[in-house]
Amino acid sequence: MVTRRTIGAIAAVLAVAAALAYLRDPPWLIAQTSGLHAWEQQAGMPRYRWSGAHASFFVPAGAGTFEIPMSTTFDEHDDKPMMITVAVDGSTAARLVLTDASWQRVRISLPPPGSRKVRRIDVRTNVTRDDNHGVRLGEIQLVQKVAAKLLPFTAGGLTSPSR
Amino acid sequence: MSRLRARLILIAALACLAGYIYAYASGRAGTPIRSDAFSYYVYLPAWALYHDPSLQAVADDCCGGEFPGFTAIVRWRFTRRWVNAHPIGEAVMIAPFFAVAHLLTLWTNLSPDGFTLYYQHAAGLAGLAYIVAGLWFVRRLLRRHFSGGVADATVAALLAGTSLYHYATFDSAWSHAFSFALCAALLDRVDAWTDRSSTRDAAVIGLLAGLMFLVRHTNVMIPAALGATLALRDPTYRRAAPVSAAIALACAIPQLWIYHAASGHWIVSSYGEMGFTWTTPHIAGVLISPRKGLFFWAPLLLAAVAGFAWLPPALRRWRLPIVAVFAVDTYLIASWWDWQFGASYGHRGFVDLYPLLAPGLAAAFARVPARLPLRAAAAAAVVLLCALSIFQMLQYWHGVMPMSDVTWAQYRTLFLKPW
Repeated sequence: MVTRRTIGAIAAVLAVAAALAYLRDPPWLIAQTSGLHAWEQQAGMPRYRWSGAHASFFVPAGAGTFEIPMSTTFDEHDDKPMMITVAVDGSTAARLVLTDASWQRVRISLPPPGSRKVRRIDVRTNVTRDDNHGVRLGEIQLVQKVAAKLLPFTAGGLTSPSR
Repeated sequence: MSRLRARLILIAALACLAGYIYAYASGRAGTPIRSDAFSYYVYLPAWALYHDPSLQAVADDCCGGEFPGFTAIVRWRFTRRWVNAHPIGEAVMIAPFFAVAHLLTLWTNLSPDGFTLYYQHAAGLAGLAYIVAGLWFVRRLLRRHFSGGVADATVAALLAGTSLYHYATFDSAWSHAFSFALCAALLDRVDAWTDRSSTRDAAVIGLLAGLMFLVRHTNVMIPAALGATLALRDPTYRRAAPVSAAIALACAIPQLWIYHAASGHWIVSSYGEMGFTWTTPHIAGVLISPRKGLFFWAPLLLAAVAGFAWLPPALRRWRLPIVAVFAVDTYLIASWWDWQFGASYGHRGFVDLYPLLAPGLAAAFARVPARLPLRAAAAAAVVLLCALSIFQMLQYWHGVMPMSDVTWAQYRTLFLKPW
């Protein structure tokens, strides 16, 4: 005989399984960021947002190859070179050393799409500037297939104004 | 009504969850692991993810190698190792929630750095869960000495009529939620001690005492006062007390080892110049001032103080230790250089002691005459004070009420002002 307790346990297991299935690749993940400040726009610069020492955001798994513009500040009391490491889903994909305040571009080639709709990008800096500011991250630019076209993210870490 | 009361703790949990969701979904509260909560929590990623108890690996990943000043995690002058002013107890208590968050983080492919979405809310919801657990212990204690109605009214009033709801929701990852739960559990366990209690019961008391030390060192006065009282009055506990003491000491060892490894000293403080002003305590400031006065922001607790005159006989043994703890802690809090304890709703320093005030509040409620007009008037007054406390808390959340340094003139101007 099936008791109420058994039915409750089965319902709980099903609920947990359904929740896990949903959380494997949830639609809101593309909008998740960590370690990023708000977008800023200054004259003569691309739109950017500051990272902390470690920032993460997501890109569509089918984005192919793209570039991220990066720069940081160099002033008289803090001009240490900054090494930036970019990882895709935890694996190092590119390294860059900034030695002056000019904007550099880091090219990232994503592996072929897997079972998830998005891939995680982690950006780490070996040092930070005042108030835990790491690197200025510009908007991602897609370079494969449609050269120089901005990646049309509608939400999330790095969004595009040009749609 | 009786069915509702039977589910009081569940209702309290749902009410806290609703407040928590509102605080974070509305963007009012930022992220749970912020300010002091960062420093209490930082051990977990250091131990479990970076396998580096020195905290340097976390500093490298989160902050370019140096912790920000607000953390009160400083490099010890002679060893250059990190010393954290905030001890490890809260991290130990969050650990089960952290483990679930880590597995979910890997499952969803969020960054497993200890500070992304699931870790944040594991810490926040841990605080909420511990407040609810604390309320459960308070209710269990009170139901041994008061009617079910009085016990339930006290639990509800404690949550809604003080800053406790705020520390279960908006600031749930701060240490006060964890200390509240431990204090409630300890008071319940020492009060429940009988001559049939076992060595295991003594070990539980020791474990709670050890955890209280690990969460907030100054709170060690609470198990010391309650344990000493029990030992003086109960010969069976006197024989079991060494077990409690041994377990409590064993709990403290990892913290002492961390201090020693970082600084070469067994007990340290990384607050530096910030310390106590013993000769100029702000007693009135912490008890009755508009800035952070305990009774100004939670006037319901005045009834708790009065209630200690009417405790039932079996609870009277706790009156002296509770008064002593309250007096000493008030002096300590009032003597701290930042006696307002920074940004907080009400005075957060006293949240840890709320379980000790619960018997007094219950005794005051039980004292209300049975005549209907008087009982209705008392109930209306309690409901109004709870509503005022919740409203002022929402003013604080919405930035209407300043986070500190509130003056009487400001308070009058902002009284009942909506956001």
